[in-house]
Amino acid sequence: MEGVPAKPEAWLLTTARRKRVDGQRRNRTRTESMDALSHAMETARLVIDAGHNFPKERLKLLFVCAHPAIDPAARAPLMMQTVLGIDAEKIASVFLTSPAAMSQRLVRAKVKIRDAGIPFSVPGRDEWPQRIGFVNDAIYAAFTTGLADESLWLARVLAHLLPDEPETLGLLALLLHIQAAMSHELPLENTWL
Amino acid sequence: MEYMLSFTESVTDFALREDPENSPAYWAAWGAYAGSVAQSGVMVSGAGLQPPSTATTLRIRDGKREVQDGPYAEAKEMLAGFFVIDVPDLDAALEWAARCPAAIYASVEVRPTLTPRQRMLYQTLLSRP
Repeated sequence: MEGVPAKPEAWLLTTARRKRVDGQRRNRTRTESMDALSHAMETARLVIDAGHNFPKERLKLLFVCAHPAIDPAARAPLMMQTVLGIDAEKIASVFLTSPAAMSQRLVRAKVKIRDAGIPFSVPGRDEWPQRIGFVNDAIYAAFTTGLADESLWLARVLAHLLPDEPETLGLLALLLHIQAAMSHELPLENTWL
Repeated sequence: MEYMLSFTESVTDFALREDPENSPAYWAAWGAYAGSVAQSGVMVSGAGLQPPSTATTLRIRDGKREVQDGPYAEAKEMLAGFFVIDVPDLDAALEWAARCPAAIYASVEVRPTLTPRQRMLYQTLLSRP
Protein backbone atom coordinates (compact mmCIF):
# COMPACT_ATOMS: atom_id res chain seq x y z
CA MET A 1 0.00 0.00 0.00
CA GLU A 2 1.29 3.39 -0.90
CA GLY A 3 0.41 6.98 -0.12
CA VAL A 4 -2.23 8.33 2.23
CA PRO A 5 -5.49 6.29 2.56
CA ALA A 6 -8.68 7.96 1.38
CA LYS A 7 -10.07 8.00 4.92
CA PRO A 8 -7.05 7.93 7.30
CA GLU A 9 -9.13 7.79 10.52
CA ALA A 10 -11.29 4.89 9.30
CA TRP A 11 -8.12 3.08 8.09
CA LEU A 12 -6.42 3.51 11.43
CA LEU A 13 -9.49 2.25 13.27
CA THR A 14 -9.86 -0.81 11.04
CA THR A 15 -6.15 -1.64 11.29
CA ALA A 16 -6.21 -1.28 15.06
CA ARG A 17 -9.27 -3.53 15.33
CA ARG A 18 -7.65 -6.18 13.12
CA LYS A 19 -4.38 -6.02 15.07
CA ARG A 20 -6.32 -6.57 18.26
CA VAL A 21 -8.20 -9.55 16.83
CA ASP A 22 -4.90 -11.01 15.63
CA GLY A 23 -3.39 -10.61 19.08
CA GLN A 24 -6.34 -12.27 20.75
CA ARG A 25 -6.22 -15.18 18.33
CA ARG A 26 -2.52 -15.62 19.03
CA ASN A 27 -3.18 -15.61 22.77
CA ARG A 28 -5.94 -18.18 22.42
CA THR A 29 -3.72 -20.45 20.32
CA ARG A 30 -0.98 -20.19 22.93
CA THR A 31 -3.31 -21.05 25.82
CA GLU A 32 -4.90 -23.90 23.90
CA SER A 33 -1.60 -25.35 22.76
CA MET A 34 -0.09 -25.17 26.25
CA ASP A 35 -2.06 -28.24 27.30
CA ALA A 36 -1.13 -30.16 24.20
CA LEU A 37 2.51 -29.10 24.48
CA SER A 38 2.87 -30.00 28.14
CA HIS A 39 1.18 -33.33 27.43
CA ALA A 40 3.67 -33.95 24.64
CA MET A 41 6.52 -33.02 26.98
CA GLU A 42 5.26 -35.41 29.61
CA THR A 43 4.93 -38.22 27.11
CA ALA A 44 8.44 -37.58 25.87
CA ARG A 45 9.78 -37.62 29.43
CA LEU A 46 7.94 -40.88 30.16
CA VAL A 47 9.42 -42.46 27.06
CA ILE A 48 12.91 -41.29 28.02
CA ASP A 49 12.53 -42.51 31.61
CA ALA A 50 11.19 -45.85 30.42
CA GLY A 51 14.25 -46.15 28.23
CA HIS A 52 16.39 -45.81 31.35
CA ASN A 53 14.43 -48.06 33.68
CA PHE A 54 13.50 -50.82 31.29
CA PRO A 55 16.99 -52.24 30.79
CA LYS A 56 17.59 -52.07 34.54
CA GLU A 57 14.43 -54.05 35.24
CA ARG A 58 15.39 -56.52 32.54
CA LEU A 59 18.89 -56.74 33.94
CA LYS A 60 17.42 -57.64 37.35
CA LEU A 61 15.33 -60.31 35.69
CA LEU A 62 18.40 -61.63 33.86
CA PHE A 63 20.33 -61.89 37.10
CA VAL A 64 17.46 -63.61 38.93
CA CYS A 65 17.39 -66.23 36.19
CA ALA A 66 21.16 -66.67 36.54
CA HIS A 67 21.01 -67.09 40.33
CA PRO A 68 23.29 -69.88 41.56
CA ALA A 69 20.39 -71.29 43.61
CA ILE A 70 18.57 -72.17 40.37
CA ASP A 71 19.13 -75.48 38.58
CA PRO A 72 21.91 -74.75 36.04
CA ALA A 73 19.95 -76.51 33.29
CA ALA A 74 17.01 -74.15 33.82
CA ARG A 75 18.86 -70.83 33.78
CA ALA A 76 19.19 -70.17 30.06
CA PRO A 77 15.68 -71.46 29.21
CA LEU A 78 14.20 -69.39 32.03
CA MET A 79 15.82 -66.23 30.69
CA MET A 80 14.65 -66.94 27.19
CA GLN A 81 11.09 -67.33 28.43
CA THR A 82 10.83 -64.51 30.97
CA VAL A 83 13.12 -61.88 29.47
CA LEU A 84 12.70 -62.50 25.75
CA GLY A 85 9.22 -64.02 25.77
CA ILE A 86 10.05 -67.13 23.76
CA ASP A 87 7.50 -69.93 24.21
CA ALA A 88 8.42 -73.17 25.95
CA GLU A 89 7.98 -75.25 22.81
CA LYS A 90 10.57 -73.28 20.87
CA ILE A 91 12.95 -73.29 23.84
CA ALA A 92 12.54 -77.07 24.08
CA SER A 93 13.51 -77.50 20.43
CA VAL A 94 16.63 -75.39 20.93
CA PHE A 95 17.71 -77.41 23.96
CA LEU A 96 16.73 -80.71 22.31
CA THR A 97 14.18 -81.73 24.94
CA SER A 98 10.46 -82.39 24.80
CA PRO A 99 8.12 -79.42 25.35
CA ALA A 100 6.62 -81.17 28.38
CA ALA A 101 10.01 -81.67 30.01
CA MET A 102 10.98 -78.07 29.27
CA SER A 103 7.73 -76.69 30.71
CA GLN A 104 8.26 -78.73 33.84
CA ARG A 105 11.83 -77.45 34.18
CA LEU A 106 10.64 -73.86 33.79
CA VAL A 107 7.81 -74.24 36.30
CA ARG A 108 10.15 -75.85 38.83
CA ALA A 109 12.60 -72.97 38.49
CA LYS A 110 9.85 -70.36 38.94
CA VAL A 111 8.49 -72.13 42.01
CA LYS A 112 12.03 -72.18 43.44
CA ILE A 113 12.39 -68.43 42.84
CA ARG A 114 9.08 -67.77 44.59
CA ASP A 115 9.31 -70.21 47.48
CA ALA A 116 13.00 -69.83 48.29
CA GLY A 117 12.69 -66.04 48.20
CA ILE A 118 15.33 -65.37 45.53
CA PRO A 119 15.44 -61.56 45.36
CA PHE A 120 14.87 -59.49 42.22
CA SER A 121 18.04 -57.44 42.34
CA VAL A 122 21.29 -56.86 40.56
CA PRO A 123 23.92 -58.70 42.63
CA GLY A 124 26.94 -57.05 44.19
CA ARG A 125 29.97 -56.45 41.99
CA ASP A 126 31.88 -59.37 43.56
CA GLU A 127 29.30 -61.85 42.29
CA TRP A 128 29.25 -60.64 38.70
CA PRO A 129 32.04 -62.81 37.30
CA GLN A 130 30.12 -65.93 38.32
CA ARG A 131 26.66 -64.71 37.33
CA ILE A 132 27.53 -62.93 34.11
CA GLY A 133 28.58 -66.22 32.51
CA PHE A 134 25.04 -67.61 32.80
CA VAL A 135 23.56 -64.39 31.47
CA ASN A 136 25.88 -64.56 28.46
CA ASP A 137 24.99 -68.22 27.87
CA ALA A 138 21.31 -67.36 27.69
CA ILE A 139 21.79 -64.41 25.37
CA TYR A 140 23.86 -66.52 23.00
CA ALA A 141 21.30 -69.33 23.16
CA ALA A 142 18.54 -66.86 22.30
CA PHE A 143 20.61 -65.54 19.40
CA THR A 144 20.82 -69.00 17.89
CA THR A 145 17.03 -69.43 18.01
CA GLY A 146 16.67 -66.65 15.48
CA LEU A 147 16.04 -63.85 17.94
CA ALA A 148 19.06 -62.00 16.62
CA ASP A 149 17.76 -58.46 17.10
CA GLU A 150 16.46 -59.03 20.63
CA SER A 151 19.64 -60.77 21.72
CA LEU A 152 21.86 -58.15 20.14
CA TRP A 153 19.88 -55.47 21.93
CA LEU A 154 20.34 -57.29 25.25
CA ALA A 155 24.05 -57.77 24.58
CA ARG A 156 24.36 -54.06 23.80
CA VAL A 157 22.49 -53.04 26.98
CA LEU A 158 24.68 -55.39 29.00
CA ALA A 159 27.89 -54.07 27.42
CA HIS A 160 26.69 -50.53 28.10
CA LEU A 161 25.88 -51.29 31.76
CA LEU A 162 29.00 -53.39 32.37
CA PRO A 163 31.61 -51.73 30.14
CA ASP A 164 34.54 -53.32 32.03
CA GLU A 165 33.32 -56.90 31.69
CA PRO A 166 35.49 -58.61 29.04
CA GLU A 167 33.12 -61.57 28.59
CA THR A 168 30.19 -59.27 27.89
CA LEU A 169 32.13 -57.18 25.37
CA GLY A 170 33.38 -60.38 23.76
CA LEU A 171 29.84 -61.69 23.43
CA LEU A 172 28.67 -58.48 21.77
CA ALA A 173 31.60 -58.59 19.36
CA LEU A 174 30.86 -62.23 18.52
CA LEU A 175 27.16 -61.60 17.89
CA LEU A 176 27.91 -58.57 15.71
CA HIS A 177 30.43 -60.58 13.72
CA ILE A 178 27.99 -63.44 13.14
CA GLN A 179 25.23 -61.04 12.14
CA ALA A 180 27.49 -59.21 9.73
CA ALA A 181 28.59 -62.49 8.19
CA MET A 182 24.99 -63.68 7.87
CA SER A 183 23.90 -60.52 6.12
CA HIS A 184 26.81 -61.02 3.67
CA GLU A 185 28.59 -57.88 4.64
CA LEU A 186 31.47 -60.20 5.34
CA PRO A 187 32.39 -63.23 3.27
CA LEU A 188 31.58 -66.40 5.24
CA GLU A 189 34.70 -68.25 4.17
CA ASN A 190 38.40 -67.52 4.21
CA THR A 191 38.19 -64.82 6.88
CA TRP A 192 40.06 -64.36 10.09
CA LEU A 193 38.04 -64.31 13.29
CA MET B 1 11.14 -64.70 55.35
CA GLU B 2 12.33 -67.35 57.72
CA TYR B 3 15.10 -69.71 56.70
CA MET B 4 16.66 -72.62 58.49
CA LEU B 5 20.42 -72.84 58.18
CA SER B 6 21.37 -76.43 58.93
CA PHE B 7 25.00 -77.10 59.58
CA THR B 8 26.51 -80.46 58.85
CA GLU B 9 29.79 -81.84 60.10
CA SER B 10 31.81 -84.94 59.44
CA VAL B 11 32.90 -87.38 62.14
CA THR B 12 36.31 -85.67 62.27
CA ASP B 13 34.64 -82.28 62.72
CA PHE B 14 32.59 -83.61 65.62
CA ALA B 15 35.79 -84.96 67.12
CA LEU B 16 37.30 -81.45 67.04
CA ARG B 17 34.92 -80.43 69.79
CA GLU B 18 36.78 -82.55 72.33
CA ASP B 19 40.23 -82.38 70.83
CA PRO B 20 42.47 -80.60 73.38
CA GLU B 21 44.52 -78.89 70.74
CA ASN B 22 41.78 -77.75 68.35
CA SER B 23 38.67 -77.41 70.48
CA PRO B 24 39.40 -73.82 71.65
CA ALA B 25 39.52 -72.58 68.02
CA TYR B 26 36.40 -74.62 67.16
CA TRP B 27 34.34 -73.18 70.00
CA ALA B 28 35.69 -69.66 69.49
CA ALA B 29 34.60 -69.66 65.83
CA TRP B 30 31.12 -70.95 66.62
CA GLY B 31 30.77 -68.64 69.61
CA ALA B 32 31.65 -65.61 67.49
CA TYR B 33 29.24 -66.66 64.75
CA ALA B 34 26.33 -67.36 67.12
CA GLY B 35 27.04 -64.05 68.85
CA SER B 36 26.87 -62.04 65.64
CA VAL B 37 23.65 -63.77 64.54
CA ALA B 38 22.07 -63.03 67.92
CA GLN B 39 23.27 -59.43 67.95
CA SER B 40 22.04 -58.65 64.45
CA GLY B 41 18.47 -59.39 65.52
CA VAL B 42 17.76 -61.93 62.74
CA MET B 43 17.78 -64.93 65.09
CA VAL B 44 14.44 -66.71 65.56
CA SER B 45 15.72 -69.88 67.18
CA GLY B 46 18.54 -72.34 67.00
CA ALA B 47 20.63 -74.94 68.74
CA GLY B 48 23.85 -76.82 68.46
CA LEU B 49 23.47 -80.58 68.62
CA GLN B 50 25.43 -83.25 70.42
CA PRO B 51 27.18 -85.80 68.20
CA PRO B 52 25.10 -88.29 66.15
CA SER B 53 26.24 -91.07 68.48
CA THR B 54 23.89 -89.63 71.09
CA ALA B 55 20.87 -89.87 68.75
CA THR B 56 17.97 -92.24 69.20
CA THR B 57 15.59 -92.96 66.33
CA LEU B 58 11.98 -94.02 66.70
CA ARG B 59 9.54 -95.49 64.20
CA ILE B 60 6.05 -96.87 64.67
CA ARG B 61 5.54 -100.02 62.59
CA ASP B 62 2.38 -102.12 62.85
CA GLY B 63 1.37 -100.02 65.82
CA LYS B 64 4.55 -100.94 67.66
CA ARG B 65 7.31 -98.62 68.74
CA GLU B 66 10.71 -99.41 67.29
CA VAL B 67 13.40 -97.53 69.13
CA GLN B 68 16.93 -97.67 67.78
CA ASP B 69 20.31 -96.42 68.78
CA GLY B 70 21.84 -93.87 66.35
CA PRO B 71 20.67 -91.34 63.76
CA TYR B 72 17.97 -92.15 61.16
CA ALA B 73 20.60 -92.56 58.46
CA GLU B 74 24.35 -92.82 58.46
CA ALA B 75 25.97 -90.27 56.22
CA LYS B 76 29.35 -88.69 55.62
CA GLU B 77 28.14 -85.41 57.03
CA MET B 78 25.60 -85.25 59.83
CA LEU B 79 23.42 -82.52 61.28
CA ALA B 80 25.44 -80.61 63.87
CA GLY B 81 23.14 -77.69 64.58
CA PHE B 82 20.73 -75.18 63.12
CA PHE B 83 19.58 -71.59 63.22
CA VAL B 84 16.25 -70.25 62.10
CA ILE B 85 16.75 -66.67 60.96
CA ASP B 86 14.36 -64.01 59.74
CA VAL B 87 15.80 -62.08 56.75
CA PRO B 88 14.34 -60.36 53.66
CA ASP B 89 15.41 -62.88 51.00
CA LEU B 90 17.56 -65.83 50.01
CA ASP B 91 20.61 -63.68 49.27
CA ALA B 92 20.56 -62.32 52.82
CA ALA B 93 20.20 -65.87 54.19
CA LEU B 94 23.12 -67.02 52.01
CA GLU B 95 25.22 -64.18 53.43
CA TRP B 96 24.65 -65.53 56.95
CA ALA B 97 25.32 -69.07 55.75
CA ALA B 98 28.62 -67.95 54.22
CA ARG B 99 29.79 -66.56 57.55
CA CYS B 100 29.31 -69.72 59.61
CA PRO B 101 32.35 -71.90 60.39
CA ALA B 102 30.78 -75.05 58.90
CA ALA B 103 30.68 -73.39 55.45
CA ILE B 104 34.47 -73.65 55.30
CA TYR B 105 35.06 -77.21 56.51
CA ALA B 106 31.66 -78.83 55.81
CA SER B 107 28.42 -77.39 54.39
CA VAL B 108 25.32 -75.41 55.23
CA GLU B 109 21.86 -76.05 53.83
CA VAL B 110 19.61 -73.01 53.51
CA ARG B 111 15.91 -73.76 53.34
CA PRO B 112 12.87 -71.52 53.79
CA THR B 113 10.48 -72.54 56.55
CA LEU B 114 6.87 -73.29 55.78
CA THR B 115 4.92 -70.13 56.54
CA PRO B 116 1.26 -70.08 57.66
CA ARG B 117 0.45 -68.31 54.37
CA GLN B 118 2.10 -71.09 52.36
CA ARG B 119 0.34 -73.79 54.36
CA MET B 120 -2.92 -72.08 53.43
CA LEU B 121 -1.84 -71.89 49.78
CA TYR B 122 -1.09 -75.60 49.66
CA GLN B 123 -4.46 -76.38 51.20
CA THR B 124 -6.24 -74.19 48.64
CA LEU B 125 -4.32 -75.84 45.82
CA LEU B 126 -5.16 -79.32 47.10
CA SER B 127 -8.85 -78.52 47.57
CA ARG B 128 -9.21 -77.47 43.92
CA PRO B 129 -11.01 -80.03 41.76
